[in-house]
Amino acid sequence: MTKPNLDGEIRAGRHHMEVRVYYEDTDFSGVTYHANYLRFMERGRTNYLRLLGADHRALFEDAQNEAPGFAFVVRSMAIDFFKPAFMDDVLEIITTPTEVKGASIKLVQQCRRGDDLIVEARVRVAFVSGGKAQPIPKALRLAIEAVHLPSETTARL
Amino acid sequence: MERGRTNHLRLMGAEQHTLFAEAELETPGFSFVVRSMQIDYLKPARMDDVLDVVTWPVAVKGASITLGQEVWRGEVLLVKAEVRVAFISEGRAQPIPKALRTLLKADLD
Repeated sequence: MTKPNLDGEIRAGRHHMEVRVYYEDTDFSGVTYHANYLRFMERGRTNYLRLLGADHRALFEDAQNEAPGFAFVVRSMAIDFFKPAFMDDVLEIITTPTEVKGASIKLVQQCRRGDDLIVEARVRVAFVSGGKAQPIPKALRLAIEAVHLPSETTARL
Repeated sequence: MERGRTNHLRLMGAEQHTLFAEAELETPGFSFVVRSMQIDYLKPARMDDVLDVVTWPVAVKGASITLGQEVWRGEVLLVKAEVRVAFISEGRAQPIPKALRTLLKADLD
């Protein structure tokens, strides 16, 4: 079951989710501890997949049959920390898939406070099933590509 | 890896107390903040593993330092990263004081 206020939403090919910065998220200098953006962005990716699965249950079930117990694991990240975020800030975590290819997906993730870009990351996640990298099943690729990739990529379909 | 960076600085400060004291005078309350990271996750580590975190400076510039970091389990490389940290004092990016720059540069390959 999905809950819009918890899971965020997918709009125009991007997943949007809000997180508030709590005291526990800050470091001794009073700003958001850098590694916590990795947690925020992980939540964004998880909820993005959750919503994708809810919207495309049949496609996800196909994928589950083809690659039982599949999961995505982070293979690499390139992260830029532009500005600090502070206690009580509300950040918007925006997740955009940019490429679905073979056994991996590339995503761009941003943490924004209003118009301020706080952190941006380019993330590559690998599809694994049975403990090994596997090609992404077609059903799953379609679920991601069909509705959620920005128009230029969808145009290839 | 944050612990690796912190302890790397801590040991340099302990070994080179005078140079660190000089830097502290020139730029009071200085610290380093992470500006960017490029991380490759190559293999998983598991519960109870003992990991070796290796940190070394690869470039020292005006206001930032680039560090190489690797996480090993024995002979197996699990994670490698390149991290750029910016030098800040009083809330703003500042040039790294000469004393500190000399110290960091001494460890460059």
